[in-house]
Amino acid sequence: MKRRNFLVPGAPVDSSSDTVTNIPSVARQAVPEFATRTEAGLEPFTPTGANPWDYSKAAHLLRRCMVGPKDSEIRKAVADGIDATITLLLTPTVLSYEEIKSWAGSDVQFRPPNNNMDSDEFLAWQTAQFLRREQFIKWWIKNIGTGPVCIQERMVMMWHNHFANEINTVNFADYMFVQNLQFHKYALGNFKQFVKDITKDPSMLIYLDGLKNFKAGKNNQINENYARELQELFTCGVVDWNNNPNYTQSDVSEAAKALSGWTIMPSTTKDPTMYLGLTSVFIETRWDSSSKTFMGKKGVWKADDIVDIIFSERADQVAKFICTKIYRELVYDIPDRTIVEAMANTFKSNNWEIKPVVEQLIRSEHFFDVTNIGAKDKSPIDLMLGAIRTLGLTNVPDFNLAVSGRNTQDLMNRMQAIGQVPCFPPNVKGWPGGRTWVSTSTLPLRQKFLLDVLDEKVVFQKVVMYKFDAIAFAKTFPSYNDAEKLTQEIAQALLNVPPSKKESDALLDALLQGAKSYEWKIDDPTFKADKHIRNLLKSIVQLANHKLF
Amino acid sequence: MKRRSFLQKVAATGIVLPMALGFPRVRAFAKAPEGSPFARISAANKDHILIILRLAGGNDGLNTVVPYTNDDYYTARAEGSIYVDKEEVVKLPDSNTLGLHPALAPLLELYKEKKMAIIQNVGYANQNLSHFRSTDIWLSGSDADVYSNSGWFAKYLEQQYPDYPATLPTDPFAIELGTYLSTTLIGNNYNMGVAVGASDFIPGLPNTDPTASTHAGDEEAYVREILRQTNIFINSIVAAGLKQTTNKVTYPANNQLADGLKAISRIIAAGLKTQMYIINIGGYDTHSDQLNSQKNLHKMLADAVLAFQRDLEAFGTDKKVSVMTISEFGRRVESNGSGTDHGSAAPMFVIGSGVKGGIIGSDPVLTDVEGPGNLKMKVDFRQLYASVLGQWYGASEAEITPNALPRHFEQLPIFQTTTAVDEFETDTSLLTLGQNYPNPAQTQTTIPMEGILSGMNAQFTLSSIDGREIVSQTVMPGQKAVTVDTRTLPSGTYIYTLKAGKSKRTQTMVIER
Repeated sequence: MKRRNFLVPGAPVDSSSDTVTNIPSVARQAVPEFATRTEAGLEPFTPTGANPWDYSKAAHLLRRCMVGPKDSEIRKAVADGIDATITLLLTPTVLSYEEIKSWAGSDVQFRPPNNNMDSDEFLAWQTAQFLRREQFIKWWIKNIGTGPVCIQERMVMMWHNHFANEINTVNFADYMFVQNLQFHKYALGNFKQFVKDITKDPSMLIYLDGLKNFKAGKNNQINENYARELQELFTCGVVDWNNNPNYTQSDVSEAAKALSGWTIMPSTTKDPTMYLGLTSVFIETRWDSSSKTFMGKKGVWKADDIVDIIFSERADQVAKFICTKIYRELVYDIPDRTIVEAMANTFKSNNWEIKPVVEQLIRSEHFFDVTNIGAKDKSPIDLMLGAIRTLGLTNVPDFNLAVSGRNTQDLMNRMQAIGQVPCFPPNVKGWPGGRTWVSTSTLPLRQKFLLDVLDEKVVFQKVVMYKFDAIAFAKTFPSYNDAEKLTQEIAQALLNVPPSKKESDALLDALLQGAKSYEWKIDDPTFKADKHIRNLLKSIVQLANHKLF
Repeated sequence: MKRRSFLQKVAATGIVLPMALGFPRVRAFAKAPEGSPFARISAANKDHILIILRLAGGNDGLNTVVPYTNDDYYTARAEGSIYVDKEEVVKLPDSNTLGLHPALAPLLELYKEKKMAIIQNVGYANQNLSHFRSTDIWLSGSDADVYSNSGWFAKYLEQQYPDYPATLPTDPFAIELGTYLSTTLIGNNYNMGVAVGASDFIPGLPNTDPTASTHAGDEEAYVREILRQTNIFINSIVAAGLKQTTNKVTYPANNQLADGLKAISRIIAAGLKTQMYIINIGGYDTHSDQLNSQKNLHKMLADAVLAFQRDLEAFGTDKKVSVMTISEFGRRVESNGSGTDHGSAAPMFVIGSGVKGGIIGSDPVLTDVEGPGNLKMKVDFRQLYASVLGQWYGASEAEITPNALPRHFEQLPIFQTTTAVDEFETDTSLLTLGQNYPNPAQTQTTIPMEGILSGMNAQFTLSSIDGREIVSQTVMPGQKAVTVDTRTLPSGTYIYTLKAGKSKRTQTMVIER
């Protein structure tokens, strides 16, 4: 990164540093494809004798709402019942930012203290900025990989993917942190207010050039970047379900004018030449005060008015667009048209509250229908952080925020290669997800990660990273003294669909490695059960089924 | 060189080739026919290779091929000085109005050697200003109002290889560097390319049990198929990489595109039969800080492509490899203060020893705009694709339309002649060159013309009365007029000609200023 760029908030980074990127262009239709495989609707799931609330359903609910539930948590959910489990999932957890509080939440030091500083001083300042980025991302993935049974982090990732900002453009982790707090606040909150707030969010103002969208005398610099994405990606989408355009180029230009005038100001509490506040401000004189016609409505509009008009004039489109996303996040990549329509009605009748939509969906017959169980392709976060949490891996290098450096970024580096690190979406549209997670290039790396951690192959300075205590893991299962039952129980905890007879036999062979079932002695050190358990897990994670959840 | 060290070297570049571990175990369930005769419908030019460089984000065409004599350009870009100074432009030898951005200077060598074609004003009707939608359109080859999940090259391949994927080729048809596969390589029924980026591969347990007829079953079948393809293709790429471990020339350092092209040049030299490579280069969405960002991107591109071309020449593989740039749109004529917003038509490059070279199409007319101030497209991007399929891969019209492309598109004289193209060259009976209007001309004038057919190599020139050539440009098939900016020309009489094959039409015009 060039020094000059770093000094100006919002200046894009020197793009030569990350020029070859994988911008996916998956042919995801603007009008979604639909698929219906079940008649089951949004009516609440009612357990029956033939279709009980059982391990498979509890596992499905937990896997979809959080990342990497443990066997013990799934068993508890079975015992607690569906109502108590859903209540628990929807109860917000209080976020701790103890580990990053030295900087998170305070004013942003947007340039080094001295313009004439030598390069060492500058480098030190810049290093400190990069350290914040590193800590912030570590803090985030640690929240996901170690959090409680709760839907919050799933929703936070979803909103990050929806209002996708790249830290390489925003530059300051401080702002990404503030944005992250918004994602937590609105995880299940009011979507309309969420859009209003995110429109003025400092990260967003930097990322989509809102800071550069202003009018001042003759200096008229109306920048359409945010105005377009607000409509195309954040609210109504390009077209409705009948392929009619939801907005015109003129709506983009007019909205850009209304959205002008928002900026970030020097902090009043510290040296105003060096520090920026964490909140944005509206400066009337930088706003284009002309009359605008937006979506057919004429007036002297400001930012909030634009959001209000979108939600009133394109209410149906917004509801369907957002509910399609929620459906794809929680159920299956190809939405069911009838279900999304019903969700959209719930969304509108609840005045854009997200929680009722999500709650209705995850407790529905449709959600628990067998067609949808195990139908989602695991994202790198689901695969990697999920394995870490489910297997109870310790000494995860990236969870150690106290230390910096290459060795403590092993997980991030691998996540990047496999295609997903928080704060690094491919572009403003976010990760396309679905089948794009699994390709001829990502599959080998996914396997490699799982096998590396199961073999405890990752060692830095003679210390084993991703430490896996195989015996302790096996002993968390009820039948750890019975080879056949243990195989079944472990397979059940890691796979969504029970293995076929052939696979089950192969897995038992993998555990026993030539020994007889009756010879299984987990507590006998001469039997070396540790190796047997690792071998079973290595076989399980290589199944195609393990790439799904 | 040991396998490990080759791969580590490649891995260090960021363009990572996969590695096969324990490959023999895979054979049991992946039927990879080694060197098996692979059924193909047409045999023409089957060893030709195209490298697509996708400039993601929308490259600003006016600051790529700069109309440096056009005052409109400097006026529109005055706010924030988002232009290239006249003195800094790298002037093209056969044009007195166009030059390259200075950071693209290395490409001038190739241009002078007639190894670089510049196709002007490329776009499509009803330009969509969304990155994502426009990228989908470009990558699929569909019309602006059609949503397609499959792409032009994959559909061509599907038709060429009807046995796929029951029988797999030994080498992948197409390779995309990165994690994802673009629509271009996704067919109606199958993925026809392979995304390459992983460094290790461990095959999974074979499973041939039928999958359930649920969403979950569909996804499992998908994962299994990817697993199967990975097993097969990885081995051939790794083998090629091990066969040829060095390049013939030195590539620029700290240049990620060069790193990718370097690896590709080697596996081509090793004989990998892959027909298309796609490399995605991000960062072209220059709403702000355009001067700096675009300069760096241009430099990376020009340095890398020049080295790649020289490397191919040294290997002797240059005759079968071409490079084409694409970008989802150009940018707005007018500056926004620190950059430019989403626009429409822009120039594209095709580079290689098999290319004819020169400028195809007329200079952009900056006053001739539509929508929010966007250049009108004059060449449909599918004309490039049709030319690639027809001239480069030797496909017949029946193989191109309506299978790969939705309908007929006139080909452009981009590649050196093939038989299919030569057939048209003699038929110049319909060629006509009209009187310019307005005449006398003041600031600009338009010259009407007819009868330029597909495959013709037609050239328009404007000369002073003493025979000095002032404007020379290629005219595209189907083109009906050429517009000339006359503001810099002194008053007097001028001669203009249209040449195609052995035929020539000549007229005169007057400029009065």
